[in-house]
Amino acid sequence: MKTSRSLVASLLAFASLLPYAAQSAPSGNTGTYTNVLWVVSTTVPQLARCTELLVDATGDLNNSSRLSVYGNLNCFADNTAYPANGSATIFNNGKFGMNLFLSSGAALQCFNWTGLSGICTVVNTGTNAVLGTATLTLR
Amino acid sequence: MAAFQSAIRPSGKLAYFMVAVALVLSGFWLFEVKVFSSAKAEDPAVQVKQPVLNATRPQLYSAEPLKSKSEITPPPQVQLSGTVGGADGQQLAVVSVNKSAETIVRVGDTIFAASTVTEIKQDSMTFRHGSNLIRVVMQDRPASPQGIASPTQALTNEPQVATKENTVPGLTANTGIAGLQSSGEPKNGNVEFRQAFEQKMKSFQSRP
Repeated sequence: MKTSRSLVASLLAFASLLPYAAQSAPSGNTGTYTNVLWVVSTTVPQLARCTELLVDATGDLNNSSRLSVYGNLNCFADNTAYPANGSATIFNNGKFGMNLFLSSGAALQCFNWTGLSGICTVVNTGTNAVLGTATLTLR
Repeated sequence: MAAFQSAIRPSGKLAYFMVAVALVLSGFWLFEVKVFSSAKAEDPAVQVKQPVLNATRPQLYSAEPLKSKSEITPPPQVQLSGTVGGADGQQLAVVSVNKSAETIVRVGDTIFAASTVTEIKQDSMTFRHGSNLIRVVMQDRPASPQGIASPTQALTNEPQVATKENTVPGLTANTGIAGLQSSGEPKNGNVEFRQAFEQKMKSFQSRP
């Protein structure tokens, strides 16, 4: 009798935890938006001949506001591409932000965009010095 | 006198021999005169034979004039990915020539053998290939039916002969979009990305 009581209690305790378990379980589908292309112009001399940011963005926008972003900053005139990776966020106030680290030691900090195009600050990731700006236009 | 006559009179055999020699010599003389006169008459024919001699060595003579490089080389297949304004205010074009890696060109640049960029507009580019002006139009990529992009084929802007009356094999003048063909380049996912962004914005706005 005592055993059956403890068994029932255990089952009830387990059942009470189920909603929390369901909440923490992954849901939704993660997808990738491939070949997202921004046309770039920048005031940073070292990146002046870089004209295209081509990335993939992965995330689950049905259940999240954040995306993982990765790709290249292409500089065709120099036959060079800087690998770029970082994240993007769609804020609930309607603003878009993105922070991308470049292999050159610089970062593109793009905040408070009202759409998917705007101006980014280019900073030196070692010294945090501002190197200039970059204008990104989603075609 | 009789002695003299006997001295110069040949014997009978000798006389026959001398007559035969004379006939042979006269025959040779007649033959030479005929050949010489006929050779003179056929003098123009001798000159006519000269081209025949030339024809035996055709490697040294070309019957057709040399073709220019543009007539020999077919025009390149150019895909216009975009145009941007350069720092100097000049319009630049991002192009892929014969499905190679994209590169940026400006007016005056040579993009292929005997092909030179002559004009860049916001949505098109024109280049000269020999005597042809070929216009390439930037084409919007169609949206995928689903929100998430899948690796599909992109459109290629097949060069079109725009203003010249002469056409190039494989190209059709003023065919527009109907002349476009797909290439192996991946399409850009801007449309899907923009749709997802707008859908997310709507979901924020619909929240209480």
